[in-house]
Amino acid sequence: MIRTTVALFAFALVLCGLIIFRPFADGEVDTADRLGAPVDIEVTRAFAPDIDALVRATEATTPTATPAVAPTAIVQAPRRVDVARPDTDDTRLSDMTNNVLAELGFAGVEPVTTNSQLQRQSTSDILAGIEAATGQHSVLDERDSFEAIVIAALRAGETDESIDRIVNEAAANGVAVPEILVTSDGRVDTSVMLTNIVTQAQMAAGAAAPAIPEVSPDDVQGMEVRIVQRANDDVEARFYTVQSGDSLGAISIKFFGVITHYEEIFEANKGLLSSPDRIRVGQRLVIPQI
Amino acid sequence: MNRTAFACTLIGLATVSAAETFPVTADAVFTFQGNEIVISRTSVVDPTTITALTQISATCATPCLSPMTVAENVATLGELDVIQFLSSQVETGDGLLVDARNPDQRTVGIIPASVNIPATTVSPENPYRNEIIMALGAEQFEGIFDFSDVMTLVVFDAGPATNDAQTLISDLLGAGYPPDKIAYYRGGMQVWTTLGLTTAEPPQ
Repeated sequence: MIRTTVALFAFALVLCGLIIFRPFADGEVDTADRLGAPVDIEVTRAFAPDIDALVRATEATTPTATPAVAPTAIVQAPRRVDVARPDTDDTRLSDMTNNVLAELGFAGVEPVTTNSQLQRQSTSDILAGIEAATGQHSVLDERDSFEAIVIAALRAGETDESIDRIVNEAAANGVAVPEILVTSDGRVDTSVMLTNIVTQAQMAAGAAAPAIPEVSPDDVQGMEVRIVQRANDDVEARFYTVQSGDSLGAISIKFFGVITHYEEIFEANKGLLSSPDRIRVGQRLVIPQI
Repeated sequence: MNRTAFACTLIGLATVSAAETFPVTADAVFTFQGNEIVISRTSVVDPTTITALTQISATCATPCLSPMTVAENVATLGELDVIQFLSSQVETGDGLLVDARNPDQRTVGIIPASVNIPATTVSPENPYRNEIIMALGAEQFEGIFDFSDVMTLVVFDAGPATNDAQTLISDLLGAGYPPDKIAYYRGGMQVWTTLGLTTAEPPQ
């Protein structure tokens, strides 16, 4: 009897020891502690992954599976696009003007590749790829670029009014214009385009860039000046309410003398303007200090 | 010295013989532009290609991991679905496997029979967008598209860590392309290459 008791006691002792010290639990990994509190595991992305591990993992797998079928779906209604404004492209007005001057034979002006030409090139590459795959021939319209239309008008010695009519007709027929020439009423700002051609021609001939004009609310309609109090000093904040017929290029010339500062104006008003050609009458723009 | 050279040769031979190719499925053979293309799997993957593809994904802004579903009613496909698509619709000319990467990224290799339409080219800002959409089979009448005869597209990009394909798909849908004619191969070039599936050189 006592032997059985001692044997049972010894067995219980060994069992308890096994439970407490867990000598065979080496392979077990704790992902959460025994009370159930979660352990934080952060998932991050390494800049350069471990390629060797990836290659080893690839070699470990063997192929075979059955193909699945793609599910079908319901047709969604197309989104509408605002068509009241001329089409625009990413061509910078300064690049376009530069090419106009180069084409008209101004000394020291080299033509540059505009974004529009790059887009055209990449489109014809894409169409060639699709055609090679499908055998379906598609034509890329040989339509005149805005640049070519302006060059032709200037060569023909047209008046400012007829140039305005020509470029607006072209824009109405789908020729893309630089974004900063689009006015608040959806026309092409010919006067900014012509002013900029003159300015860039003078600068190419060695003249200095036009000075920043003195503007005051008295002679610029829609302009406001407010004194904003800061901790150390008072800052003059300038605002401009968009008038009918204004383009971002025109506003840049009005306040800074040149078109190139349109970027600062656009950046300062990003909350209001989704893109430089989406300028509307009555918008109150902040004019940044340069 | 001789022994070392012999050992090196043996190792080299072993590596070459280890690089077997496995057939993927019975229908992984199709004709494209008059050439027969077989999609197979190799057991040895070139680490430099994977490194290059991973670096492409690292150029995307963080976190930049693609969701499983990019748009409503646009199916997400795996490799076998892509292969089946190639051997059925691409072979008959009813479908197009679209690579949304930029042309310079395609130099590391392309999925055979894929056609390059870089992500940004179908955005509404591109004045040539309509020409591209019409090349995909859409008919235009007075500025309105008819998508009834368009090709079925499967779109992919560098991998699940870039969102070029997503951009292209949302721009196509924005232009009115029917979502049941678009599918998304999320794995992209990165997973395709990692699996050792057949790649091709981009056409010149």
